[in-house]
Amino acid sequence: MNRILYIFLSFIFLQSCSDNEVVSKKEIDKAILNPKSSINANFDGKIFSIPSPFQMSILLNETVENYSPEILHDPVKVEKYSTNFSRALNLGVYSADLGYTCVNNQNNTSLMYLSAIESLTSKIGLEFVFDKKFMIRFDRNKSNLDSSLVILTEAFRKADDYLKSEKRKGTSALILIGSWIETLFFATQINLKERNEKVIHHIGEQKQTISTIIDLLKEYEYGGDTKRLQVDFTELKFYFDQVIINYEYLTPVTDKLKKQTTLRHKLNVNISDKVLAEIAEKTDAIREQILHLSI
Amino acid sequence: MNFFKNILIFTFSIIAYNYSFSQECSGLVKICKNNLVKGNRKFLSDGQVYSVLLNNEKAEFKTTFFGNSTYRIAVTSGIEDDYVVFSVKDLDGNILFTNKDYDNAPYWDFKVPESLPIIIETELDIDKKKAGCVVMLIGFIQ
Repeated sequence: MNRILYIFLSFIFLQSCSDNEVVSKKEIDKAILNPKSSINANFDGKIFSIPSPFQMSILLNETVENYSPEILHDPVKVEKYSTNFSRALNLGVYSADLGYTCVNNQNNTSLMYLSAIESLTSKIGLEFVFDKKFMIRFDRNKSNLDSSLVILTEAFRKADDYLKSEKRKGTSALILIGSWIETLFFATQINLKERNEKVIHHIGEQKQTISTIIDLLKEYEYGGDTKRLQVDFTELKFYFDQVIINYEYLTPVTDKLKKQTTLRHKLNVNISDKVLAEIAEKTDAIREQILHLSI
Repeated sequence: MNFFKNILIFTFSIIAYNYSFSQECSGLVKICKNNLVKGNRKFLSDGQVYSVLLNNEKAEFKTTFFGNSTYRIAVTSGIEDDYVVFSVKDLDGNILFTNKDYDNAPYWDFKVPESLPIIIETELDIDKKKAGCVVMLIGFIQ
């Protein structure tokens, strides 16, 4: 009996140690224990939504014609990341880079970033997502932007699903944070190169997401230099808090047959040049910190 | 010995529950994925899976809809299409859409001319399903 108990408790211990993360079991248990609860729950405990890095690249591509390879991270540096913390964050960075190269039809460069992503995913237990089958499929469709974006976004959704179902939500969150800071870096650098009001608008729109990022950083035990990231992102939020967003509600129009609602509100984003420069500088500093982890 | 027996039973129950929750949600992702591309295969996933166990409560999260985009919100909580009620609100609490008005439609598209931070609120239609995992996916077309 003691032996069975020992084996069993070891199994429990191993389960609870997976990924060193604080899992939202408590929240789930609460819901079960209190069926009459009407307290609002949050999806996946405290996971909020981070905009897709691919979408930001598409938005930038629609706004600015020139491709700027100098804003990308060096894919050769991938082998230098030696901790799960640095690997997850830089997987996010490289994912955003891949999105940017893809939407700019830089097929050969995209393959270099895909190779970097494959290397990182194989080290954090996601090798089945970017396996040989995936690489062949991507390679066959790389000349068709729509198809390659579908394949890539599906792969990232599959990775996110796997990480969350394996209770590795912290890893999933770090990937999202890495990709978000990289796309914000793209926008700020592109605007520094040549001022663009639409790009400035896109930067200001990130005001909502910075709060989500800080919530995510507080929610999980990530290991690594989480505290420093929390401080840096809080400082970045301080600048974003100075972005003024004016919103005017107008009733949306819904087409039942098309299953479509068209929003009609007005939204105006106002950022001073000083705040814009501070956001750009802080974004650059946070990105540099992430890029140089474990190097 | 009874003490150990009780611990074993209790722990087994928790693991079995967590396992079944995880299995239920994983199965639902496939159904939800079909809703995400129904009638239009061009919707790109935002790369995230939103799942939650609901039991007579609401779940909500914040996100941003970017301008000049069309979004699709797809939901599921089982084989039947109409288990889940979802609403989209602005940060002032104005309801921009609720599928409650459209027979709990499992997916809906949003044409977004200008960006907007939003709150998505989800609950089970308790007349149809009392408790279970709800999965939501968000897709976009630029």
